[in-house]
Amino acid sequence: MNARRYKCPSCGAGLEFDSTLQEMKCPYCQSVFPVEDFMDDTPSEGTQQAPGTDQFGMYHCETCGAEIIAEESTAATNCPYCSNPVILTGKVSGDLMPDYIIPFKLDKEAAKAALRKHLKGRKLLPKVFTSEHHLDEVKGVYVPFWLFDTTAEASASYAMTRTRTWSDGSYQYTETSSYEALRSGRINFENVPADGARKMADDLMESLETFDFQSAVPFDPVYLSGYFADKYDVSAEESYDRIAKRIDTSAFDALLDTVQGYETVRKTGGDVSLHNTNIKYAMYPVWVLNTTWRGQNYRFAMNGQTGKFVGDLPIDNLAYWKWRLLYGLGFAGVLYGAMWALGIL
Amino acid sequence: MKRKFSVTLLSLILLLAAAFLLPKAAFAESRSGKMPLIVDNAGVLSSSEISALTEKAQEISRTYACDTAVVFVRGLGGYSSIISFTDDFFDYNGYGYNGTKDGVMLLVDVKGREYWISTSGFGIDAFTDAGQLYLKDQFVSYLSDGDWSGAADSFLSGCDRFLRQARSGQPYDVGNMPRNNFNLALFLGDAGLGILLGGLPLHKARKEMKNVKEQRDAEAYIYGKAPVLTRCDDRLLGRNVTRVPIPRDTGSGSGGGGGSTIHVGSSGNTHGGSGGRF
Repeated sequence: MNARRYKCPSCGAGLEFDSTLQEMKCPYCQSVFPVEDFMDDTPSEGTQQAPGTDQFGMYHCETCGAEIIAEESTAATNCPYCSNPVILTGKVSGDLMPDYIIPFKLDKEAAKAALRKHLKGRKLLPKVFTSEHHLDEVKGVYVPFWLFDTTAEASASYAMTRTRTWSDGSYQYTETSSYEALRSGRINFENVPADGARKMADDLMESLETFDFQSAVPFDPVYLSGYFADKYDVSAEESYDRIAKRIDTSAFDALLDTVQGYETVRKTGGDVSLHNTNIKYAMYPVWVLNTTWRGQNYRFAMNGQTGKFVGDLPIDNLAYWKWRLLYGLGFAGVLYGAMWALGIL
Repeated sequence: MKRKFSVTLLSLILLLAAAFLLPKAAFAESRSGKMPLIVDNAGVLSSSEISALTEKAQEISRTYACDTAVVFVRGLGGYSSIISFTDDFFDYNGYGYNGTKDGVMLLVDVKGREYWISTSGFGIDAFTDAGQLYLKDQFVSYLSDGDWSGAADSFLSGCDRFLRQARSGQPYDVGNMPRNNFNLALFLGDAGLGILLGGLPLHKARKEMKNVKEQRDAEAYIYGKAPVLTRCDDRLLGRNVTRVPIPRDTGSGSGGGGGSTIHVGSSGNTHGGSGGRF
């Protein structure tokens, strides 16, 4: 199995993709080189491995010669011995090659800054989450995504009402007019994402949306250098239902918007079918930090392109009740004092 | 011999009787022949209670130049209204300081389980409607419990406070009610409420701790005109008219802002007052 690294022409160390410069940079001699110089000439390189044959695989680090054990889905990582980037090209070539990649736009410092900002001033957060040492453990990961392009043909029926009121002094009259409507139409969708990594929670990845596909470039393994990456282990078929649900919702929303001028509108039926579906395979950049607290793992993620930050924080119950008690006593003091001053007591 | 003995016995009895009557006479003297301030025609107070209460009532009346009296009766004896009974009891028994007849009287009908506070002269100003409501709260529970001396004592204590306040020129009324000492129960109640309400700002902080949510739709990924309609029909099904009669109503309202409600008793004297059942 081929484990590739990109050698610095100046000093021979492992080059990494620098998100700030959008070029290849050597972490040792600081030399900078254009990405194109290291791109693959031939589209399929390296031996292919059928997905799901092994849970783990052995790879050979070209820099230090170590034998690395990595998970079956790992496509890019750091050598645990010499810290140099290792790219397992077989995982991202041939049939497994992604169509597109959005390179990282925000670097590690930006990720740490966003983290610090998100965690700042949270009274209820346990202290362990904000230690600088821990924030340093944030990792840049390329997450595999399936992107769906499709045209939805939707139709729906509705029941609507309009009312009119008037009075003649002795009675109040209400006239209710009932209507029905039919709508059929076409809505185009492109690049609707579904994450293809089993170990990345779907709701976490969905919370990171939207990734701007305008910045996507044709895939080349060079972009992975210096980051972690996994190839997909959830198939496009498995992701289809989730995508279809979101598309259906939007299709019905679009049709409903065209029923205007009524007081009440109620959908009585509808149908959506998807046509001309095209599926692309892409890698999207995500900064990930895992924190363990009281035996539970908390994962935070930041969109490596837009900087959007998501993650559920645990609540320190002790801190919560302490604050609640403080608020309570403070409130009591204020209320009692006010009652006293106003002479209500 | 026999005659001397009976004379001695008689004088002894008379002496004993005088000993009993003397304290009463002494009190009567200080009130110059008027009715006592504490009257127990229902037989609900012990003699020690009567004397203790009488001493307190006299102290108050003297200090503030305003008679404070408590009367216990068993039944209203022919009177249909406790209001007129109390007013008359006050007026026809010579209660009240000076020509203005300054005084306040609590009359309790133990049998009918009813009470009435009657005010007169300065008492009308000192014990406003709002003030009387406050005063009632202090002693009614004692009446319900049958603690007659407790009720009388509580009433007198209240009168003491009210008269002191009234003599200072600003009788207790709406917006100027007596202030209690530190009420621990109330403070703890406030604290409990505060802890409950403290959940609100913290609830916001709690919610902000979570921002992971799955996407509801794919709206961000729509491109082009959406939707491109291939069919658009609206159809009227029918109309329906209902009617509701407009109700006729009359409104009435009254305001409130303090002061004392007054009426004129049978004696021609003006009284204020209020009461209730227990």
